[in-house]
Parts: sequence; C-alpha cells; structure tokens
Amino acid sequence: MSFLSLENASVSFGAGNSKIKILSDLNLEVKENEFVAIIGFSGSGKSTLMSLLAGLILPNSGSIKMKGKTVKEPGPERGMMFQNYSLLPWLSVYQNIELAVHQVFPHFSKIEKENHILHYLEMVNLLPAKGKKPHELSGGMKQRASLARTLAMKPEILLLDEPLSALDALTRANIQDEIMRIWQEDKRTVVMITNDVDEALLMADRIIPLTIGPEATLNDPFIVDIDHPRDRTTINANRNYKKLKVNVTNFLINMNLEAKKLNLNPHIPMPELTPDHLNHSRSNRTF
Amino acid sequence: MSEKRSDQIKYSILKFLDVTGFTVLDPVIRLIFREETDKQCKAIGKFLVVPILFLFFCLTMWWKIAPQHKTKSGEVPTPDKVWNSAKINHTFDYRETTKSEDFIARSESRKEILKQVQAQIVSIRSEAEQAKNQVLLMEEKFKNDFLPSKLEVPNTNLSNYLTEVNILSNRRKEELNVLKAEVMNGKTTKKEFVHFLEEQDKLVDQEKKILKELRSVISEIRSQKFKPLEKARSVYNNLANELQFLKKREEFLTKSNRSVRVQEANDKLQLSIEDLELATTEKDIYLRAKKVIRQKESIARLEGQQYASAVTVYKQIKRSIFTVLCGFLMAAIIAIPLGIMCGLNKVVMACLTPFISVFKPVSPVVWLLIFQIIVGAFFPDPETHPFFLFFSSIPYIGSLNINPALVFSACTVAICAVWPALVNTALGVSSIDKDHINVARVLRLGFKDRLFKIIIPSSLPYVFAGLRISLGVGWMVLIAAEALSSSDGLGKFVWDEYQNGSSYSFANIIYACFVVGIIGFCLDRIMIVLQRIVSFDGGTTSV
Repeated sequence: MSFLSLENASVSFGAGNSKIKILSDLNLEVKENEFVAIIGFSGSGKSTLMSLLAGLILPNSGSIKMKGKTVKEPGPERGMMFQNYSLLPWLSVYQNIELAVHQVFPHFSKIEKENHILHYLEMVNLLPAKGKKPHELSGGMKQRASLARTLAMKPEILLLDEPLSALDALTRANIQDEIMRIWQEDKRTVVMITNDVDEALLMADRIIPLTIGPEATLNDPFIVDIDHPRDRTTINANRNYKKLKVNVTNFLINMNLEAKKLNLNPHIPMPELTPDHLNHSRSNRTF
Repeated sequence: MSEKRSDQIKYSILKFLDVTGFTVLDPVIRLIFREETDKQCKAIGKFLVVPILFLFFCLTMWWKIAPQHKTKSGEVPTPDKVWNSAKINHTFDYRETTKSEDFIARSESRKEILKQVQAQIVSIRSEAEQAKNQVLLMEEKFKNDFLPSKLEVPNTNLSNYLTEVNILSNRRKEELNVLKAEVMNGKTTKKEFVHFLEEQDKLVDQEKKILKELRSVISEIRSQKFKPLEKARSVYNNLANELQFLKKREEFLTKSNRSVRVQEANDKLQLSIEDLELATTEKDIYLRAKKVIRQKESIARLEGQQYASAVTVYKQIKRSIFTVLCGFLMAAIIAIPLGIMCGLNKVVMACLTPFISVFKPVSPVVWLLIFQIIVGAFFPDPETHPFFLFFSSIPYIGSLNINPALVFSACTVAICAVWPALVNTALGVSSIDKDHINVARVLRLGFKDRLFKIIIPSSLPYVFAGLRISLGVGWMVLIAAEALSSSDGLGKFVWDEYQNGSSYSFANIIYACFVVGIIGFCLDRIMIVLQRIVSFDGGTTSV
C-alpha cells in the first residue's frame, strides 16, 4: 500500500478566461520510508506541488491520500519545510522551534521539551545561535533553523521544498549528509524538491521529473538503484551513477528544448504602417 | 580587558542612541572613545555644528525681525523676552508651591522656616531700599543730565526757529496792511491780492510743518529709554516682588498657617467646653452644646484644608498630559481590537468602512461640541457624582482637578486619535505574511494561538506606527480643544494669555508654543522607542 499518493490531481489558479492550469493529472505513489526527489525547472510548479502534498492547497480535481485517507487540511504529520524558511521573525530560533514542539507534543514536560528542542538545534549545528532572531541569521542558518523546526515536529513524512537552495556548497554538502543520516536513522518518508541533479542522485531512491508548466505533470521516474549509505566522494566513480546522471540530464535538456519549440511565438502579422513624421516635414504638421 | 569593557560601554550607548533616534550624537560618542577621530569630526561638523549654526542664524533673524512688527499686543517678542517669560512662569510656580508647603507646615519645622523667612525679609528689605535709592538717583540723572544733554540742540533749534517765525509773521502782517491799502487805492488789482494771500498761506503751512518736525524730535528724545534707569527699575521691581512674596510666606507661616489656625480653633473649643460645663439653665446648655458641635465641625474642615494655589503653567502641563494620555488610552482600547477584527474579517471591514470614511475627516471642533453636550448630560451634578469623587480620591490624579471638561476633552482626543490606530492595525493584520499563516496551518494552531502567537506579534509594528500617529494627532487636537472649551490645560493657558492682553501675554503665548512643541516631541520619541522595541526586523523607523 502506498504511503502518500496523488490520483489524477490537478491544480489551477484564477477563474474564467484567466484560469491557468498549473498542474494536471498528477499521479504519484510514495512508499513508506522512501526518499523521492522531484526535479524540475524553476517556474514549473514545484512549490505548488509541494503545497498540494502538504495540504495547504486542495486539488481542483482528483485526490491526494495519505495512508488511504483523503487529505483535507495541512497538519504536523506532513512536516513541510518552506522554501523561504517561514521563521517567525519576532521569535528567537529556540522559540520558533518551541512553538512547533509545544503544539505537536503538548504532553511534554518542560525538561523533555527543552531537551527535544536542544537535540534538534544541535543536529543542525545551531546551538550557539539559539537566542538569535531570524533577521540576525544568514540565509543558510535560517534554512537550518527551518529544518530543525520541521524535524522537531517528528513528521511521518518530510516535505522539503528546495531545502538547500540558499546554502553555499560546503554547508550544502553538510546538510545533505545530515538529512540522509536522519532519514536513515529513523527511517522516514521524504519528498524533496530540487533543481540539482547531483543532489537528487545522491540522496533519492527515485527521481521524478516535473515537466515544464503550465499544465505540468509528473513524468516516468528514474530509479536510483545505488545502495545506501552513499558516499559523495566515491559515488562519482559509480557506473550506475554516471549512467543515471547522463540520462536525467539529457531528459531535462530535451524537455527544455521541447518546451521552447512549443512556446515559439507564431508569426504575428504587423500592420503596414509608417510613422507619420517620416512622410511629412515638421513644418507641415498640424495638431 | 579594560579596552573591551570600554567598547562594551560604547556600543551600549550607541545602541541606546539608535533606539531613541538620537543618531545625531553618534559621532560625538565615537569621538569620545577615540574611534576614527577625523571621520567623526567631519560628521560632527556636518550634522551637528551646521544645524546649530543654522539655529543661531534663525534666532538672530527672529531677534532682528520681531521688533519691527508692531501689533495691538505690543511688539512681537524677541527670544530674550520669551526666555524671560519662561523664567517668570517658573518663579510663579516655585512661589505657589512654596506657599502651599508653608500653609501646611507645622510645629518645629514651621518655626524654623519662619525664622529663615524673617531673616530673608530683613536682608531683602535693605536691598530693596538701596535699589529704590538707585532708581531715584537714576531718575534724577535722567532728568538733569541725560535729557538736557540730548535736548540741548533740538531745544535751541526750536526756539531759534520760533523767533524766526515770529519775525517773519510780523513782516507779513505789515505787508498785508500795505497791500490792503493799495487794493483800496487801486494800485494793486484784486487778482494780485488773492495771489498774495495764497502765497502767504503756503508759507504759513510750511512753517507749521517745520515746527511740528522739530517738536517731534524733542518728544522722541523725551520718550527714549534711559538704560541704567530701566535696569534699576527692573532690579527694584524684582526685589519688591520677592519682598512681597516673602511677606506672604510669613503670613502663611503665622496667622494664616493651617496648624496655627487649628490651634486657635482648638483653644476656642476648649473655652466653649468650659462654658458648657458652667452652664446651668436648659437653654444655655442646649445653645452651648450646639456651639461646641459647630466648632468641632469647623476644626475638622480646617484640618482638611489645602492652600488654594493659583493655576501655574506646570499644572496646566500636567493636566494636559494626563488628558491626552486618557484620550490616547481610550483610543487604543477601541482601535486595536476593532482593527484586528477588521483585518481578520472582511465583513467587519465592510461594515466599518463607511463609518471610518465619514467620521475620520470630521473636525475636532465638531467632536468637541458634541462631546461637551453628551458628557454634560451624563454628569448633571459633577460635584457629587461618584465618578469624579472616585478620581478625586486617588492621590496624585486627584490634584489634577478631574471634571467634565477633562472628560469631554479626553473623548475628543480619543475620537480623533482612534482612526490612524484603527486603520493601521487593520492594515497590519491583513498584510500578515502568508508564509506565517501557512506555518500556523501546518501546526494546526487554534484560533486563540493563531491570534496571540502569530497575528498580533506580526502586526505589532504596524499597530505601534498607528499609535504613534494617534498620539501626535491627539496632542494637537487636545490643545485646540482646551483653548476652545476653556478646559484647564495648556490650551487654556494660551487662550487666557490671549484674552489677558498684558505686556507679557504675547511672550507667554510663544513660550507656550515651545512648551507644546517640546512635549509633543517627547511623546513622539517615547512612541518611537516603543515602536523600535516591538519591530522585529531591526529596521529603522522614520523620525
């Protein structure tokens, strides 16, 4: 049985003439404990897809199910890590996490709560900055704080919306390892959105490309059959890895070319007009 | 280590300046701590010295231009006169407070103060005596030396001209007589005679004009101020005032003193009680017992008596600030919940929009009149109304004389101040970041948590920006309302001065203008600090 599934879901915004179908006929099955990466160009509706999975928006048609039950509203069991961090700016890092923990685990005692929060802060290396307000943090630190908040909710499924986009290469690698470690330690289901092929190959069990919107849909998945744990230093030599990387990249490039062909502007006939002042001298002009 | 400590002090001072909005002083602090002295000196030159020079320039312009404009209330006062009126107001307040303290002084401390006051009276009296002599001396000098020396030339000019005129007019008379005879003879035509008369009239007019000019020169000199005399007079006046004040103090420390009067009344009571003991007839007992009761009552009244102090400008300031804070508080209590409701619910917003749009532009004057009528109807007998009795019983606030005028002034302030706060709060709540709402949705926060943990904190900067505007509007409205309704406060002070028309009135009005401005500035600064404290993005607030 699939853990999280989309059945013919489509999403459109606007109404009447300006109605735009962003996502159409999405079918997705995520198994329990699976790591799925969704890869696509920017503007293809990845974040909309993530909001859909989180339950922040509901599909116009089709359905989204978690453990067989239709999703009707967002909830902490689907822990969403937002692309733009969404930390509450008037609370410190610690308080931001506390707000979530307090809500998800109301039965925790004071000490349990504190230990829980500190555990996750330590995991993302933010202990020294726990008293800082979000505007005092760098982009990477904000992203890590957001990750810690999401993880601290102990969600059944992690929804990561480009979680590493604002990080420098080094921190990025660190957090990638961190996410993989967490995923392996207490096996959780993860859906991650990314635009980085290497990242997807390194982390995911399956890579699903999202076609270019509007009316974007999910294409056939690439299965990444490389055993976990994967080592970023040696994986480059892996034959499977190389082949998959070529395939995925080619697929994306072709998709881009096709999209460009589709979007080619048809010839718009121009009226045969010449500006007035070229035909008449200035002095003859009257207004 | 010590250097680090001084750095800490420096940064905490700089932070304080930043929060309070006095960033102008930033380079001064840095200069004191010897940080990049060249740069700081340049910054001080640009942003501190130049503005101060400009300020002095403006003051000088004021000084020069003001006396040239003569008004019904005298010349426009120069800065020194305004400063002087500030000093006078200050002394007035000091004297009133001293007198009220003297009034309630008792036993040993009363005697001690009395001794001091009496010593002061003796010394001031001799000083005043000297000053009076000085004035007389100067008057003498003015009459005997100053005036004659200045008047000598014009006086001789005048007398010379007068004799000249005399001679000329005599000569003309003779000519006239001659011509009259000639006309009779027919030697001169009548036409020529008319011409001659016209010429004569012209000459007489001219002479009159010159005479008038000469006389005006003299009267101008006479009205000139003799500086030493003026100075002596003002010294004497000050001393005389001081003396009068001290005499008044003496009075309040002796026969008008509360404890003294209570003592006297007690003595009388004692006598009456003795009388009562001696009374034999039924009628006498009744009457004397009544007298004892009356005297006891009057003693009780005496003991509760306070000095009826005149209303000084400081009292007006206190009352105005209290009123504006009351009105502001009312506005905040109404505006914030309503604003939150408006921001949360479009239906509420739609319901309130017509009211906001129509009532926001209504002039404070109209509101004042409306509230004056409404509040008046609520308290038909304010002296005994429990509402006012309650306020009078509160220690500090009681002394501010809470009355219906204060209530309707505060209501006027509230209704005018409510709109900016309301609109800003609604804007703050409705423009809350969608991501923050999403966080609340993912966490499944209940309505209460959502309101208090997400919506209110996120809209607080807007709310405080609105409150800051509200307080500014409220302060402006209040002064106008007080002036119009003669409700005690700074506005009334200004209005009274305007009606007074004494020689200090105009200076007092300008003094009040500065006081109002400075208090408004302080209130605004307090709001800025609050706003900076609740703003979470570390951004700056416009000053």
